[in-house]
Amino acid sequence: MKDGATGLDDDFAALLRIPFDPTLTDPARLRIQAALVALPRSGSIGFTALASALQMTDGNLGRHLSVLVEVGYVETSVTFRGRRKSTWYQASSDGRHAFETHVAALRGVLDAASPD
Amino acid sequence: MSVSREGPTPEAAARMLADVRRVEHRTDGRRRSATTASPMIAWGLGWLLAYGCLALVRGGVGLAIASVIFVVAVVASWLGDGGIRTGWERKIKLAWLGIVISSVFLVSTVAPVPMDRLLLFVGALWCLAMLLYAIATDDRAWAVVSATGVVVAGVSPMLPWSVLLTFAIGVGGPLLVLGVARRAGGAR
Repeated sequence: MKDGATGLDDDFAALLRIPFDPTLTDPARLRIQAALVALPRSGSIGFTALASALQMTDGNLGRHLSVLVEVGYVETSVTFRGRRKSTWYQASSDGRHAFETHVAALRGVLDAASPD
Repeated sequence: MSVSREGPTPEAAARMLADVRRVEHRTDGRRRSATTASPMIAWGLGWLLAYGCLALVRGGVGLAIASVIFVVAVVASWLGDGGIRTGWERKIKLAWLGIVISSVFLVSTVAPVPMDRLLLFVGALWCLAMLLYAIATDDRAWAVVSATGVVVAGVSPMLPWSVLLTFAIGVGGPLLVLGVARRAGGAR
């Protein structure tokens, strides 16, 4: 079926309407969210392991993580082993949904460029 | 009619998607390494030493040493978290506890049989437990190693040399190699 306003196929028009997430438009934050979404839903990762996996500096990672935590895309928890404190990061349900939507929007750009 | 929207160019979108896939792949590899490398190394060494000991030191002494090695391997396999948690750790520990306790009762259902066969039976049961875990977590390499363990347990009584030594090398060796490979891969 054709979309009345655009003259495009409904499915294709719907794909093009998927909005980009302003928080994940930043490539560094998109990479962080991708790493967290790649873990199991109940999974989490420590700061050092995340920095190592993404090859980001501590300062850069910390700055972007605090933005993601602030918008509710990333949840944190703290554990203690003896006196050693560890902070764990996990993608929230909202964060997973926002990531999937943003990636779908990126795919939409590619599909729009080569609709065949 | 053209449709305008804010967003990256197709080239930039392709780059971002490729980067996302790379990050997902790398994180998944790190997760596998962090959650399975230590248990594999501990279990591989434990398997080699405990079954090797059972093959070479007969009687109660061999059984006592192997039991100590087994306990050390279990504790060592739970030590490191590698900076990544799956959230299933407690359930996995409970499942293993269930398997170990069940082993005692399962052994009594097939007794009396020669000690070598009992030990082989228990080992095959643990390989089967690893196989089910590997299938559930889509871990093909571990599934292959675990399935090989079950096959080795079934085939080794037909071989002319030591059943337990064959089982020690046939299961412990591949587990250890896979664990070391994952540890090395995760460190990169």
